[in-house]
Amino acid sequence: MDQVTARRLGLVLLAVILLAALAQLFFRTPVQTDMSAFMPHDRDRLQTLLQSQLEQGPAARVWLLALRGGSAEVLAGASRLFSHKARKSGRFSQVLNGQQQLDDATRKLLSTYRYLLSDRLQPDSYSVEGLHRLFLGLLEILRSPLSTFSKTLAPRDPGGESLYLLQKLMPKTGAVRLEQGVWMDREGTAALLLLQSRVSGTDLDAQLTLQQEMSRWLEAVREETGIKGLKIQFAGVPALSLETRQRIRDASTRLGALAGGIMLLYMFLVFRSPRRVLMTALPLLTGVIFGAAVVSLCFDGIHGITLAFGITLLGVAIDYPIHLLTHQHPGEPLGRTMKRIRPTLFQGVVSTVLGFSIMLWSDFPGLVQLGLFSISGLFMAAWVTDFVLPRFGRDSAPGELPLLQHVPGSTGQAGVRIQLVLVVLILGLFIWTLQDEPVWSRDIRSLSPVPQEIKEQDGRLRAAMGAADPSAVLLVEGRDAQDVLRREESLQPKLQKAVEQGLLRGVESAARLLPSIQRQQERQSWIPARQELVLRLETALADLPFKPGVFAPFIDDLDHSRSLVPLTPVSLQGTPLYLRLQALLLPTSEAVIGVMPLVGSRDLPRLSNLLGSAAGEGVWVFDIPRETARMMADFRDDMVRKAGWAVLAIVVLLAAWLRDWRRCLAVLLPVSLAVLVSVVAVLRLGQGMNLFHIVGLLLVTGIGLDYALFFSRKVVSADEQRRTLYGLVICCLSTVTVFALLGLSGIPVLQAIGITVAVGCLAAFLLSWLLARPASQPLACP
Amino acid sequence: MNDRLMNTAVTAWMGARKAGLAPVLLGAGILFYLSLLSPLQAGEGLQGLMDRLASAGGTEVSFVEEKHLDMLDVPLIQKGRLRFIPPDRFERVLEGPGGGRFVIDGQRVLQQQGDTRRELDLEQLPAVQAFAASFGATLRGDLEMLQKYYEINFDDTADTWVLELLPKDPRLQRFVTRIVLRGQGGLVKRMEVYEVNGDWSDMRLLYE
Repeated sequence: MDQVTARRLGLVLLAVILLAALAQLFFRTPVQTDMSAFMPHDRDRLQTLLQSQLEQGPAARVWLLALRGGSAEVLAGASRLFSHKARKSGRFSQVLNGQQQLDDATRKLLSTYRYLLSDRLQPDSYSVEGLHRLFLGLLEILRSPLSTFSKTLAPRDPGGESLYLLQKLMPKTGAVRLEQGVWMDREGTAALLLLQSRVSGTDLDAQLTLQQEMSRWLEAVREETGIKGLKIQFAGVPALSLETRQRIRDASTRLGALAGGIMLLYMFLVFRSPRRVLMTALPLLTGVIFGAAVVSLCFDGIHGITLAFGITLLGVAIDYPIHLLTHQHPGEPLGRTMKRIRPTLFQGVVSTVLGFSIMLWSDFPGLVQLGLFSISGLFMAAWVTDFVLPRFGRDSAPGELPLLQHVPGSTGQAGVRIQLVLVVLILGLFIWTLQDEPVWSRDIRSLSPVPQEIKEQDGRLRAAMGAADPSAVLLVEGRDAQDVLRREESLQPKLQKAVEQGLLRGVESAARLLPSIQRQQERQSWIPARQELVLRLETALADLPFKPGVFAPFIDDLDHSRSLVPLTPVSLQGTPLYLRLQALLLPTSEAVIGVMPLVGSRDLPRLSNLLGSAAGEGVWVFDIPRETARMMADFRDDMVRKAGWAVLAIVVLLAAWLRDWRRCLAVLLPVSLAVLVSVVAVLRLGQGMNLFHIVGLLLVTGIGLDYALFFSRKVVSADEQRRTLYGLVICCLSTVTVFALLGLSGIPVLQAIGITVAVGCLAAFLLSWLLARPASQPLACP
Repeated sequence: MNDRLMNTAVTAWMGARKAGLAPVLLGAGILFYLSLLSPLQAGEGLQGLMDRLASAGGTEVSFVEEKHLDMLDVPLIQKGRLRFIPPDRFERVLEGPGGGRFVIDGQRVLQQQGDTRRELDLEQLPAVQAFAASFGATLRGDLEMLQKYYEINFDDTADTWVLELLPKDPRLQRFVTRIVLRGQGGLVKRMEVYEVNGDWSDMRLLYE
C-alpha cells in the first residue's frame, strides 16, 4: 500500500514538474535568436572587441536596398517616398538614397565651426601667401557660371569651407550615379538605398521586423504612386543572415515533418498499436519540455539554436522506450521488463550524460544551454521511461512483436581474429585519412546555406554603393571618445597612403565626422589675432581686383572662430551626425572602441604592415571571417580537450559499474571505433570537421554507448538476445533514416550533423554487434 | 517667313488685279497684315523662333564674356568655347592655363577647375536648374520648359530677336532678376544675366 502511495506521489510530482515546465515554457520563455550566444564570452580582449563589432558595428547593421520595376523617374519618386517613410519611422540611424541629408541646423553648425572642422586648413593657411592663394582661387571660382549662386558666401567664406564640409560629410557614393536626384545603378534600372538600422545586426528577430516593415512601406509606396510593378530587393548583412535562418528553418521543418512521418510508420510497423507508438514518443516529448524549461529558467529564455540542436541530441531518448517495449516478454508486465533492463539503460543514460556534460564548461553561452538542455532532457526521458511507461503498458497485449520471428538470435559473434582485423583496419583507415585530408574546416563561410548567387549579388550591390565591407574593419581602442578620435587622426596619413597604394578604397571614421578637441584647438591656434589678420589680408589682396572691405565678414568669422568652444560628440546630439557617430564610437565598460569600416579593402596583411607599430597597440585590423574561424577553432580545440576528460570519466564510471574489463572493452571499443569511422567519412567527403560535426559526434557517442551496453549485456536466453538485437535494429534504423535525411538536406549545418550521426550510428551498431562479448557464455540457458 | 508670305501675297495681288478682284484682295491683305501684328500672333512668332532654334541642332562657337561684379574693381573678362550637343549636353571651356570646364549633361553638372572636380545634381539645386533652363531650353527650342521657369517677353524686329526671361521660381528670384537672350534667325548671339545684387554679365557668341 505504501509503495502504491509512493508511486502515486511520484506520479503527481512528475505531473506537477511537467505542468510547471509547460507553464514556464508558455509564459516565460522568449526564444532568443541573437547569434552572439554562440560567440565565446570572457575570452581575450580581441575577441570581445570583435564580438562587439559583429553585434553593433555599422557594417553588420546596413541594409542595402534596390527598388526596381519602373522608369528612372518612377524609381526616383519611389526612392524619395520610401526614404521619407524610413526616416520618419526613427528606426534607422542613417537613411541614404542620394538626396541631400543634412538639415538646416546641422548646416548652420558646420558653417559656424568650419574653421575648426575643415581638414583642408593648414598651419600656413592664414599667412600672407596662404591668403593670397585663397583669393586667387576665389577669382577662379567667380569665373564659373555657377558663381551667381556661390558667390553670396564668398565675402564670409572665400575658401568655400562650408561647402567642402557639407560635401565631405555627405556619404561617399562610390560608383553609384545620381539620376533624378537619387542613387541609381549604372543601367538606371534600380534605385539604390542604404539604411543603417539602430538595432544590432545580430538581433535577427528585430531585423526581421524591420524587413517586414520595409515591405509594408513598399506596399504603401506602390499605392501612393500607383506603380504596381515596384519590387524591392534586400541585401546587406542582416538580409543575408535572415535568408540563412529562413533556409535552415524551411529545411528543418520540411525534414522534421518527413522524419516524423517515417518514425511513426516504423514504430507502427514494429508495435502495431497506436498506444505503443505513443509510448515511444512520450519520453522524448517530456524530455524536450523539461529540458527547455530548465534552460529557460536558468537563462531567462532559450536560444532557437539550442532548441533545434537540443531536440536532435535528445534523439537518443527515443531508444529508451524502444528497449523497454522490445524486451518485454509475452505476458510480462512492463514493470518487470524495466527491472531487467534498468541497469543497462541507466549505464547508457549516465555515460551519455557524462559525454554531453562537456558542453556545460564551454565558453559559449549557447553551448552551455545546449548541454543543460540535453542533460536535463535525458534525465526526464529516462525517468518517464522508467516510472511512467510501465503504467501504460499494463493492459495491452505485451511482448508480441510480429516481426521478431525474422530476427536472427544472436550477436555477430565475430571471432577474435576478425575483431582484431576490424580494429586494425579502422585505425589504419583513420590514420591514413588524417594524412590525406585536413582535419579541420578552415572556411566557416562554407557553412552558409545562402547560395553563391545571392552572395555575389550582395557583393555587387555593396561594391556599387561603396558600402563598407562587412568582412574587414579597423578597431581603435581608447580611454575615452577623445582618445579614440586622436588615435584615429594619427592613423589618417597611413590610411591615406594605403588608399593611394590601392589597398583600400576608403575608410569611414568618427574622426572624419568630428575632429578631436586637440585638433580643433590646434586649428584655432593657427588663426592670427584680428589686427594681424587685417594686416595680412591687406597685403594678400594688394595686387588683386577685389574692392576694399569686401572680406570684413571673413575677418569677423575667423575672429569668432578663435573663441569657439570645440565641438564634442555630446554637443552634436540631436543632429544626424550624432547618430552616425554613435555607430562609429562604441562605449565598453572601461574604454571606447572606435570602429573604422574599410571600404573596398584588398590586402589586409599588407595593411597591417603599413600601420606598423600602431597595429596591436590599441589598433587592430580585423579580418572578420578569419577571426571568426579562429574563434571557432579555439572553441573546437577546447571541446576536444574537454572531450578527453569526458572519455576518462566515462571509462572510470563503466569500470566501476561493470567491474569487468572485457565488457568495458566491448562497450568502449565499438563506440571509439564508430567515432573514428564517422570522422573518416566526414573527412573523405572533403568537408573538414567543424563545430557541428563535433556536436554530431557527441550524439554518436551517446547512442553508441547505448548500443554497446545493450549488446554486451549479460542475457539469460536466446529470446532475450533476439529481442535486444531487434530493439537495437529498430533504434539504429530510425536514427540512421532521420539523420540521413538531414545529411541530404543541402543545408551545410544540417548536412554536417546528419552525415556524422548517420554514419556514426550505423558504424556503432555494426561494430557493437560484431565486437560484443561472444554470447556463447551465457550464465544459463533455459 | 514674313518674306515668303509677302511674296505669295504680291504674286496673288498681281494675278487678282488682272481678274478685277483687286479691291477685295487688297482689303483681305490689309486685314491679314494687321492680324500678324496683333499680340495674339506673338506666341506663334515665339514658337516659330523655337522651331528654328530646335532645327539648328548642335553648335560649337567661341565666346567672350564680361562679368561685372560688385566685389571687384574691374570686370572679369574671359574667352572660351561653347558646345551644345542636342538634346541636353552643354559644355563651356575657358581659354588659358587651368581653363575651367563646365558641363551640364542632363541633370548632372560637372565643374572642373584645375585639379578640383565637382559633380552636382540639378535635382538638388532648384535655383541652378531653373537657371540652366534659360540657355538649355532656348538652345533646344523647348518652349514648354522655358515657360515653366520664366515669364517671357519676346520681341522680333526686322532680322533680330530678343527674349527677355523673368524668373518665376522664387528660389531663382533670390539671385537673378532677368536674363536677356539676343539672336538672329536660328542663332543665339548674346546672353545677358542681371543679378539681384546688381552684378551683371554679358556673353557674346562669335560665329565664324
